Amino acid sequence: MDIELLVEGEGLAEVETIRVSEGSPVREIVVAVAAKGHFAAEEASLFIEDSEEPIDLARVVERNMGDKVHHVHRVHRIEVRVFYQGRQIDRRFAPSTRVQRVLDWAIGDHGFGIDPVIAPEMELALHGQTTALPKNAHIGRYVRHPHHELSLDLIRGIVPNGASR
Amino acid sequence: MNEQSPVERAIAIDLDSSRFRAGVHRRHWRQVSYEFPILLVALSAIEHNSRSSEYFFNFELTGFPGAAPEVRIWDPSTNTLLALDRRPRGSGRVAEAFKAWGGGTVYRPWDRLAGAHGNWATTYPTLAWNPKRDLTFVMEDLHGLLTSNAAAHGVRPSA
Repeated sequence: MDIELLVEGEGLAEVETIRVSEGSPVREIVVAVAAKGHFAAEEASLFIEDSEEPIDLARVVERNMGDKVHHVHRVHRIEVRVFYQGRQIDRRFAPSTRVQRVLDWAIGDHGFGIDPVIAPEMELALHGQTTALPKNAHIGRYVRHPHHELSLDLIRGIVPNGASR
Repeated sequence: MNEQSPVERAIAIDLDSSRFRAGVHRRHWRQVSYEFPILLVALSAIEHNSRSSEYFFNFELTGFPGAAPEVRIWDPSTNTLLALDRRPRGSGRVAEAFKAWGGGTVYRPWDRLAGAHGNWATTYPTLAWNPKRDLTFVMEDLHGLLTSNAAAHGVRPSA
């Protein structure tokens, strides 16, 4: 029986849906995403969203895999650099890491230690840009093998206000 | 056979999209009911005291996606606007988004009424509505606001 899987990956601009057969090797997921992203499946790994380590490709597809978003990428670790007010911090993340997780680190005590009063208003943008990245996007979508680096800016989010009466 | 209008078809496509379903899988939001033109959704939230909660939103979708959704924070028990003293609290951005104002809708540039005033479409193009946007764009913005208190407390539920 086929199951639907939500996937992100290298070369994909958005989360997409693929269908794979229950009981088939999970490598089928890698092959399907590699075809969408136009890269060689042999070099790629499969991750669960926000997990650090890839899944063993010898496993088979199980029904409960449909409950999670998966990620396929040829890079195992992305070197993330975040800039803020003339300073920069670095850390390695798996490509399946959501932007939200990187943001949590950047504003937290192991990052820039942003004042809790303004921390809820902070966002991440690609370095040199001002548009906030979607918080649920996997960082792997912004990196294409053989590159393995991602530079981001920590920015203050927009607070729209105007004549509101 | 029940034929859908182009507007209803556009809504159905959005609700069945990978992006919308990913939010459901992550338990960021869920569809409560839908009878055109009203869509009622619930979004997960983190309160200013770091407790998890949920808020409801009423989407009026006439003319979608050519017309922006008209979105109100909602009390499903009374089928009216949520009372001001029960609305989300948090940063200035949260307070501004869910304040009471003349239009009665969520005060964000993608909303039909809020976006139509103050030259917001020009001032805030990254948040303003256009027909290429989808419902998930709004859901993601609302969820980001509703969970932004996590940043102040260092708490973040897993996806």
